[in-house]
Amino acid sequence: MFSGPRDSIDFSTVRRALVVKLRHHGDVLLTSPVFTALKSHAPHASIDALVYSDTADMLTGHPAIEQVHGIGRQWKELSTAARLSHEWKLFSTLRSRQYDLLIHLSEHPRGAWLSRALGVRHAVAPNISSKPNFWKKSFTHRFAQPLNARRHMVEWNLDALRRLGLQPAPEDRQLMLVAGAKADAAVEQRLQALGLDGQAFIHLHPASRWEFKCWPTERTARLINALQARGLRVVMTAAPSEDERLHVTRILSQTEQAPVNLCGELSLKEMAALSARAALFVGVDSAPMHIAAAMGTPVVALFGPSGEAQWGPWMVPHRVVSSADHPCRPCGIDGCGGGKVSDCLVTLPESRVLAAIDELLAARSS
Amino acid sequence: MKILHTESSCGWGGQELRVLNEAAGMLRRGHEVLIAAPTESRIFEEASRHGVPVRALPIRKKTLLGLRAMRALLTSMAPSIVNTHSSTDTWTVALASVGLRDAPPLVRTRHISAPIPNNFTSRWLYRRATASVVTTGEALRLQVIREVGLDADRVTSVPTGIDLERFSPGDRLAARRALGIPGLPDQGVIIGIVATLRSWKGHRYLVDAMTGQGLELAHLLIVGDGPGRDNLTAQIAATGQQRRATMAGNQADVVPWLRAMDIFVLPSYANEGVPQALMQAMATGIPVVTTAVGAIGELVRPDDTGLVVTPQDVPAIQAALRRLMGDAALRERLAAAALAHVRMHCSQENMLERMEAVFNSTVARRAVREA
Repeated sequence: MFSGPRDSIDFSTVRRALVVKLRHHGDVLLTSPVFTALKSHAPHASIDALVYSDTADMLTGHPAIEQVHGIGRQWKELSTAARLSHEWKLFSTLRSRQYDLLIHLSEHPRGAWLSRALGVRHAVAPNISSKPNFWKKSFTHRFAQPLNARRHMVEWNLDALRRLGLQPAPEDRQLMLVAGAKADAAVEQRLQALGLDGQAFIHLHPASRWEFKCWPTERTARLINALQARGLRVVMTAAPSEDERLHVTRILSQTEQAPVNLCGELSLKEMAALSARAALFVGVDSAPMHIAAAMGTPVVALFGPSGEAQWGPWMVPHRVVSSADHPCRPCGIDGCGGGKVSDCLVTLPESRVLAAIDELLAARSS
Repeated sequence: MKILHTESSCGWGGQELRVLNEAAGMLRRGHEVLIAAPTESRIFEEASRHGVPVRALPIRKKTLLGLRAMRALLTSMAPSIVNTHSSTDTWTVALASVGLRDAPPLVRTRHISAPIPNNFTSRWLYRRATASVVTTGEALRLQVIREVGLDADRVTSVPTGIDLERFSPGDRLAARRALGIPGLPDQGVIIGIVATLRSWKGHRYLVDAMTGQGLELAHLLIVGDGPGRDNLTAQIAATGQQRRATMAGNQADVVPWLRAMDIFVLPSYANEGVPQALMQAMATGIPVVTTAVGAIGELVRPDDTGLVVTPQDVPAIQAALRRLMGDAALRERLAAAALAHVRMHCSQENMLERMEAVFNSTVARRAVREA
């Protein structure tokens, strides 16, 4: 048995912990195992989360989480007085919770001053060499970062626990997302109206907030045509943004028969409930892909500039379709040369995506 | 049967709703159905949202591109029948079928009573290119026969069916409370209209009528939106009715709004087929006041299934409203007769059966001619 780091903390004395993740939806969802692992190691502890309010749905209902606190992204646009009032209210709430452990899972400066202002006994954050001393001294522990971009973000998040002396059990590393009874019922009703209840369908989420992560619309349209020609029903979703709506319209206008189109119609929880009922999810590297993985639905994911080692579908049957002809990938930039178009993604042929879908469907039915 | 519906209109009203409902209904009955519509049209969006097979086709305007796309679709899909719904898509299908081997018979549905131009091209379209014409009412049917000189047996009236499970009588007070609209009274009379805000629906005559004697205590509820909104808002203000009139805008589900009403008024003066909102009001079990424009007369028989007034006649509307408000027995009798009529003649299944019959006889006639 290993004894872990010398400065391991005694989890039996931790009564209340706060996990902070100030990033986008997918990033927040990938922290869900941190709560599971912490709770199973310290079942007596109450665990809270602090995230941007719009991402709270990724964690609410998580059985290991007691409270999810939110920071409004729109606070920045308010008057100074209004903003301070919001901030003060949040800070008072957090202080009244009397945390004795803070786990900060990004490079956001808020974690550093929260750690100091809340006077927590233990605080852990990533070790970032470029950060000033103020950062370093704000935390009792700093977890080591790999020198390559090959560690999955779930493990990266769990590294914070490892640094404190907690080795997460493999079964605690699964993603956890709870759609909830309301979303389940709403989606059930919708599928019934569409004649899809109890029927196998493919959940396709073709767009991403980042255009450089998207596959060309004509390829998606041809993929839909091919799937429908095989008698597979396709349900398409997208976020309610103007960009994604446009992307979806371009796809629809090129299909021989439009798939069921629920773009902009579903909340994130409903999207999760839909994914859970799908035979398969097909999409690019985006939050919905992680949502599908969290719901245990097999995933076909198209990867371009972002790396599947770090961001791939987690602990679920999957196929990653990515280019073998672009040794430069994953590069992590917004299109080749920053030109918003990623060659490695736009050249991916439909045939490879179809083959991946077939493989997963075959594995599912056998 | 393989049914292709075409719709070039980008609007969203009774016509487009009927196309979508008909397509969904035929799908349920085991037919193969496809709607072809422009990508930018609302029906394209709604069809894909409701899982009704739909294909994007550039047929909003008459273009060579649209013609080619239609010809390609007719060839690849090889439908047993094409049902067109607006002028542009009818022309596109008709021209795309010229010289096409095994071109499917064309059934044109006319949803509105706009006049048909009497020229060579229109005569060709209706007499030669079209196999059958369906209208949404008997009056429209007679108009087509008269204006184009078609054989009566090639023109059928199939009124639009409505979903009688959805549109059914309900508790008035509960509906009002659930809507929770400020200014909408719990007690007291609510006179309502559900229609696109367009001149020919006659909203302005109803607004004027509301100023009449004996109607001061009634509340006016206007559901719907459209180009006439600003004029109507101004008229309500000018006649001092802001506090006793509610403009509810477009509503996805009009059922609770209808149930909240005591009397439904549709004072249309032109361009009507069989207004679906009128049928829906009748199915909800509320007495109606309307005109005899278009095919409304087939639905509302005077003093039997509703009260009928002359179009653009404010005193007539006032008299009808006063009569209804003062006579509970009359309200009940009209509502009951209207409900019975709608249940007997206007169900969605009824419509689907009749459309099926038209399609079958059209295909059969074609087969006989070719044999």
